[in-house]
Amino acid sequence: MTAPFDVEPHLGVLRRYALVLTRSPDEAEDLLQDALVRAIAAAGTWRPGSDARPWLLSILHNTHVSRRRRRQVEAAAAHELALEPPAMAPPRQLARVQLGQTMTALMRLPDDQREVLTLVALEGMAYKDAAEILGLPTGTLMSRLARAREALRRALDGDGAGEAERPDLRVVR
Amino acid sequence: MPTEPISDVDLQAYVDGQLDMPGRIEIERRLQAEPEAAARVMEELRLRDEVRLFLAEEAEPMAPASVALARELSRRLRARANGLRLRRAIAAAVLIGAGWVAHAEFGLLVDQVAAAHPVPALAAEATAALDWLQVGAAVGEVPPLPLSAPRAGGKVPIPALGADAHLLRAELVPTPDGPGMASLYRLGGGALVSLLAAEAGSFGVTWPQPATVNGRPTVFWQTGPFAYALSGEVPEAELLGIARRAAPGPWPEFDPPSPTEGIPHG
Repeated sequence: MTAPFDVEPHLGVLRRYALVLTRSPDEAEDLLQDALVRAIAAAGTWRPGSDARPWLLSILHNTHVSRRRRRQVEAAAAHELALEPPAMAPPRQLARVQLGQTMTALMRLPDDQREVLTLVALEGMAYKDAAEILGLPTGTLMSRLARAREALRRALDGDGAGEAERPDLRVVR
Repeated sequence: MPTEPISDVDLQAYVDGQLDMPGRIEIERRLQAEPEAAARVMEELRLRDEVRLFLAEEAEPMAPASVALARELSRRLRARANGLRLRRAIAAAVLIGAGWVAHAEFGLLVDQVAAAHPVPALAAEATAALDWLQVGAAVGEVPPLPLSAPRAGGKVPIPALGADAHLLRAELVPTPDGPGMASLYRLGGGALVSLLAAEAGSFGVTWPQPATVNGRPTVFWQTGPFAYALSGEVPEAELLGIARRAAPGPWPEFDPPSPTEGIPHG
């Protein structure tokens, strides 16, 4: 039986969520470890007895935001454009991972739509908890969810049935 | 009477499992009459399940560093959980006073007949220690928790339980009064006992006293600033024997308890 403080059982889900956030298996592993280090330092914020998973997801998400912001600052300082155009094809590294048609399309969604759709899919995830993890008002979460679903449906309809991954669009770095 | 079509908000809440049972039944009842909406809901459910499956089916092994970090984190979260349990038990002890109470809310269920002294919260923690020591990670895998030094100014003496007792694992645990050491032993006969050694909240001398705490035979004693609780899967008489042999002396052996014996005067 999993005790509330057991972290190992959650590692798989955490890494998969990290993969959705980063779209790169190597960076996902990096993000996960970075988040675990932060969680160790922030152990005092965990409410004893409560489910550790939402707490871990929140730290994972915040760590991701920090890393992304730092990368953007660094890239801007180096006179490179780091903004991702929406609906771009996922980076080549993802080809290593077995993704079905749905997940392939999901990986192409903009960051905020990808995050919200994936998080809410977790069993037992209440809107309120997901909103807290993402740092959003619940209303914003719900409207973002609706837009994300619409975008995913459009992407899947547009691709047709069972097609292979689209070739990468050229990323302006 | 024409009814409004189900709102997208309701359908989304249904797909995301946010509705209570009556709400779900209501949506399902209305979907029976709206085949287009029902088909859309099925598609959304399938998409959600595909994402859910993707999240749950991680088969690639975790990097050793991630596992090690996760275990260290668990140790610290567990320590927080145990510290909190002890605080609750101490609150119960304060309520108890000189008598006994069965206080299920605090997890401290004490046999009224078993002892003449109020059972310290440490005794309850010893029974909990037995449980989680058996399932917790072995000591030595991760660096120990950083805890502040005992207030008594030195280490908490750990009594030797005798050649018969084989130490399986030991972990530092926080208590409200400072760090404690919880150790798990296997006795010659194969039974497991846990010893919890910690700074007591106040100075006192109590020789080994038996009690039944959380259904487990437990013996507790206090030597000045340090308190001990021994709990295990053995009869009370055997626990008492171990405790009496192990407790750092000098002990008045088999003398009836006197309220002032052992307490320094002047």
